[in-house]
Amino acid sequence: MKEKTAIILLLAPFGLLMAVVAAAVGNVLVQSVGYIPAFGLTKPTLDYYLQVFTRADFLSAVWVSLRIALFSSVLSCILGVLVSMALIRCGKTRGGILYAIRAPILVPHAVVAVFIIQLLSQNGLAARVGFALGLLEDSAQFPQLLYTPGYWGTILAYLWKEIPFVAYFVLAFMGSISATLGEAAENLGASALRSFWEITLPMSIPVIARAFLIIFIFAFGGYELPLLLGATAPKALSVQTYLAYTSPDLLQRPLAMAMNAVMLLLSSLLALIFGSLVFRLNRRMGGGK
Amino acid sequence: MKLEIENLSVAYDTGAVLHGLSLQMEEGEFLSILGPSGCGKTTLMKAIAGIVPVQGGHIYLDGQEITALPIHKRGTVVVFQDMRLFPHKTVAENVAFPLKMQGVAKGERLRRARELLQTVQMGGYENRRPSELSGGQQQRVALARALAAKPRLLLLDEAFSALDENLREEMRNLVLQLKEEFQMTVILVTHDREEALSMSDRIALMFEGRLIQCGTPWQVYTQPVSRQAADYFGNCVYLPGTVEQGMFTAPGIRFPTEKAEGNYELLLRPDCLSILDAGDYPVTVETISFRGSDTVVHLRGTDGVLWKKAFTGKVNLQVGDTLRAALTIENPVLFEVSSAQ
Repeated sequence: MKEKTAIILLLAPFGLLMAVVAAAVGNVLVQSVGYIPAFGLTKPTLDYYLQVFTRADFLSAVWVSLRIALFSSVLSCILGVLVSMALIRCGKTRGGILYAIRAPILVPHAVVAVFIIQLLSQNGLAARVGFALGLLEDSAQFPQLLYTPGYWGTILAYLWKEIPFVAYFVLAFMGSISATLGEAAENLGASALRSFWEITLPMSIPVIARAFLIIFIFAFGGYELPLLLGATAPKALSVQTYLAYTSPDLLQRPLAMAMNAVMLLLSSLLALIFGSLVFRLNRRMGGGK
Repeated sequence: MKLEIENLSVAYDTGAVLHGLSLQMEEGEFLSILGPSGCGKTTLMKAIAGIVPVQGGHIYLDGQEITALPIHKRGTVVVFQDMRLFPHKTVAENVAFPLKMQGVAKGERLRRARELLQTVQMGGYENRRPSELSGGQQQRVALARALAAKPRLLLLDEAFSALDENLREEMRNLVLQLKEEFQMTVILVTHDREEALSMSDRIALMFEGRLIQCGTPWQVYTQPVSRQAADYFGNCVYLPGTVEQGMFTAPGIRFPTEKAEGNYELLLRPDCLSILDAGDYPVTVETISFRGSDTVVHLRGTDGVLWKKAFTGKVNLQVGDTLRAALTIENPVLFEVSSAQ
């Protein structure tokens, strides 16, 4: 009995958190079918979903968010893994270097946006340095990365934060693989590069995939960076949804909720697909039966 | 493959591990590096394999200096205690891995892997994953994988310690058989005295990062260079005595020696003590412990020395019995007692 009470008490904070999430999701779903009695909407309908899927701005917003998430997470994973491997080869897997890696992770997104504007705008630091070195005749020749439909500024800002995140996330695991199985591979005649390619990297894929999933879902639903560094149109999904939600026309609310529901559904679907892939990979790596 | 180590020093962040160690090994030899945990024997093996950097000294393999050679170019293959099979590869792919690194075509390397798996009695397991094998089976695959690399020098790092007693014996025999079959030079790193004594051509005994003694198992066991070396093999009894005018004298014992005059301790082991003879060394039975294959009897001499003697078969003794034992000393070993002691 005492044990049961202890378990309930220990799980209570988690239960509370889940209850809040469930209530929020429930609220989104109920409002997305047009049931908001306070606004006089009492008849459930799927019309808002139909509207969402037929609106060109919504579909391009989905595409923008997917593009941002895909580019930033794939590039972050590739570069983060390379950073991690470089640190392992140099034997720098502990101590001060870990604090240095963690620093960008701790910087808020809004601050990162300011950094990026300062650095990469056409009159930013990079453009001025280019001009001072004679590489550019005019700072306006610096490529337009910010506020463009390509969302490269947003992607670069995500890279700035997520490369260190991936490196930090995979470092301990890759380090332990490299020190045991990687070492065994080299002992059997593999060069450091082949040992990485044949053993350390394949063995680390489940962990890299987990890091990928976290940053992909985060970037897919991210709000500040696409808002501060992105184009006016097309907007990212989260920005589009938030604008609909904060529209003075309260009857737009079910539409905003339908957008939220679709975003939630897409995120969950991607997480599910990834989860299943990671599970299969783990089994293939001998990590479970 | 002839191995020569000259004045080798290795240090980690925590301090020096090997202190100017030198060792020679002949082609086709089976050498055991024996010593207690933390004595630096695994570090020595890793230094030979190029896994840890050395701070001083030289390592030569067949006259060629390999001290600075990268790990993958040395041809010194280690079978690790934890096997380190690649879990994402099948058994056959594991064994074929060194051949893949040598650029052998896929069909040929898989054929060779199958052959080697047959050699270690693991035929039919080619498509299994390492996680589907028992500890002994994994050990066999690790051995086959090491053989596939055609090692110039095979290094076994406590390779049998994770196995149970029966399996350990089986694997020891398999290794000795493979050593002959493939005419390999082998180094076994172990803390198991019996394993080192029974398998090796020579034993290198290490303590605290230094090589204390190197010789045949018989030499190392019967002619230890120090009490520390003798004690490592256990079951030692020391009789205090003195050397005067070329004679060692202890109560009931006297023999000629070339040692300088002074105080000494005579090393004795239980096989020196014979209780079947009507000798002049009285002992009393203190305890009798039946252990299945043998019975260990603790005998206390009148000089207070405790002997632990193992007997096979039924022992017709009772606790408290007093016997007239005899001491037979064939190759006496004397350790000088320093005046500080």
